[in-house]
Amino acid sequence: MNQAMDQERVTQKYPTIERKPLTLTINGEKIGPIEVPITMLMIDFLHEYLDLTGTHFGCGQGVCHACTVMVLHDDGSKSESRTCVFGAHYFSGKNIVTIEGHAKEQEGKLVLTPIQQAFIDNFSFQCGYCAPGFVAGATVFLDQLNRTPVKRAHLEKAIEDALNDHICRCTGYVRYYEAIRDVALATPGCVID
Amino acid sequence: MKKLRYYDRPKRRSGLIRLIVWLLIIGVIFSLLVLFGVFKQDTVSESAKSPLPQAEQEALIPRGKELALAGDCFGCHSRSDGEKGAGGVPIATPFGTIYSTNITPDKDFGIGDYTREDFHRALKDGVGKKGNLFPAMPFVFTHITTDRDLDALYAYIMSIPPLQVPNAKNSGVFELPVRPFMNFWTLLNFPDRKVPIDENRSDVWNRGAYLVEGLAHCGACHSPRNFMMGVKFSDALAGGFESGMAIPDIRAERLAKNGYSVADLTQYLSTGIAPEGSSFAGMNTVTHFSTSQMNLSDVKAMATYLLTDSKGKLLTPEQSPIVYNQVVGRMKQGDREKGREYYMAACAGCHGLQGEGTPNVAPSLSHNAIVEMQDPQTFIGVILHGLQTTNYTNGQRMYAMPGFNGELKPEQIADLLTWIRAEWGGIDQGISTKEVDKAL
Repeated sequence: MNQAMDQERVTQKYPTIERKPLTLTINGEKIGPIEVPITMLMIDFLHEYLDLTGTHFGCGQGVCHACTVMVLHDDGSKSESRTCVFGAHYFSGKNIVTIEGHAKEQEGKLVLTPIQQAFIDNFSFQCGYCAPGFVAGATVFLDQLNRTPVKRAHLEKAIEDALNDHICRCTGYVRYYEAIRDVALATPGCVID
Repeated sequence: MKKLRYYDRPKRRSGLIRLIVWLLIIGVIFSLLVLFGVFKQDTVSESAKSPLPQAEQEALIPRGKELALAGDCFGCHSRSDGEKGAGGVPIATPFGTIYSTNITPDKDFGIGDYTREDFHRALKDGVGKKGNLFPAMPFVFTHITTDRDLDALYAYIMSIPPLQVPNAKNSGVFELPVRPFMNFWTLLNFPDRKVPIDENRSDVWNRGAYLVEGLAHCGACHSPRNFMMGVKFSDALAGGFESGMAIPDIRAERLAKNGYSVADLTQYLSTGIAPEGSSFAGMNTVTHFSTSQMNLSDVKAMATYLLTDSKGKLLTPEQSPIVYNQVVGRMKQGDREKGREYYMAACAGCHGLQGEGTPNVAPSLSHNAIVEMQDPQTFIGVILHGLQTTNYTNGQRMYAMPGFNGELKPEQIADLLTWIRAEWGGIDQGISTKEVDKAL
């Protein structure tokens, strides 16, 4: 009885939620076509439809960058995108990687990416709320370094510029930036003299 | 056969040659006269030729400070990462780049050796100690400033800390000794303007007129320019074009149509944020350094002047809210539909499902004067290239807008803009992919 009343109330309040089919690739897996409301934000789609809750909802205004995911482009390049300000349909046809998709399974074991491992080795985060965004941001930055290496003297500045938008309230960035610097120095082709 | 003698030659031909020769001679003489400045304006008053008594000059400093804010002197004469008045801001022109100069009272690098008379000449006639100023300096506007106010400005500028910062070298044609040739420009583009004093109108209007048409030099960006880059005073404040952006028409009729009242326009100028939009790019320099720092009564006077039409009627905004999506019935629904979906996917997260915006993050698009502009150039540019995080008074700000160049295809951006303009701008003219490509 109650359930029927609830349903009726919802129907009255939202007589028609406009939906559209959505197709995209997430963590290498093809999703859809699936009917998604045209005004639904990407982070809600990840959480509610796919149960991918590792992407964190922070400020909800596109400022803190906790909700950042990685976009893989056809030319092999990577970029960052916030999911709390862009709709699910903005990612239509795109290929994205959420925090759940960075580590890869090898011989039955999940192996972290060099960035993820460095964040742990350096104790880069405490509460971990911003960590998924930092992983996406740092991975994109390393990809850019691979394409256009920087001089050793400019590395710290380049890290700060690239990750500047990502907000962390626990560790004060130092350990994040040190971890990224370690990976950049250890990866051939990222830093030139 | 009779031999032709020199005086027997056909009269007509010799007359034509003679005429051409004479015209050439007159032309050369006239040009030389212009070049040597015979036709130049000299409007510096006799009284300004002797220095002011020290005590009187010092008493004028506070007033001069206010006037320097109204004129936004430091908006152009300071770099954002440099010190106040040190100059060095690049101003790009089709003929090369001019750098603003050091206007601190340093004797070697600034204008420390300017006398009261020199200072008056620079702001009234556009002539500096090293010759003509380039019209990047808005002397066609500051020309109307009263002697008393020029004295106050002089007193203030001479009181700021002198900085030993050398002027940057101009590039392009401005590297050449072209200053004397500016006489031709001033002859054609520098009318002897007067303050639009009207005794039948209120003191507030008159004060606003003095500021808007003079020191505040609103028309330097908001008026169209001719091919010599001279201000078209016949079309004053009808909108201009600057750094790839269309600059809005700010005549009373247009402002009222955009929804501006004196209160809203005063709010816009004194805080940078109003229901009709928030200042960005060059106008943010103006609201940040100039109008937000001015006396509120002066800002209100400027708003009053701007909202008064040519007949002297203070216009009030059109009834709001205007339901634009009913006004635009002529557009085919299908043309607009695609854009709406892009809006929901790419823009609504910050600018809101109803275009209402998010405070301190993203401005509203409904009732936004830039969206309502007929010329879409500025709007297209913002969507393609984004905007930096912008700060306003009282710690308010708008967060950075990402550029969508490469993220959305030109045809998608065209559809998106077409829908937004129809929905909230009341404009039923679609935007083509070509127009988007042009702004790339």
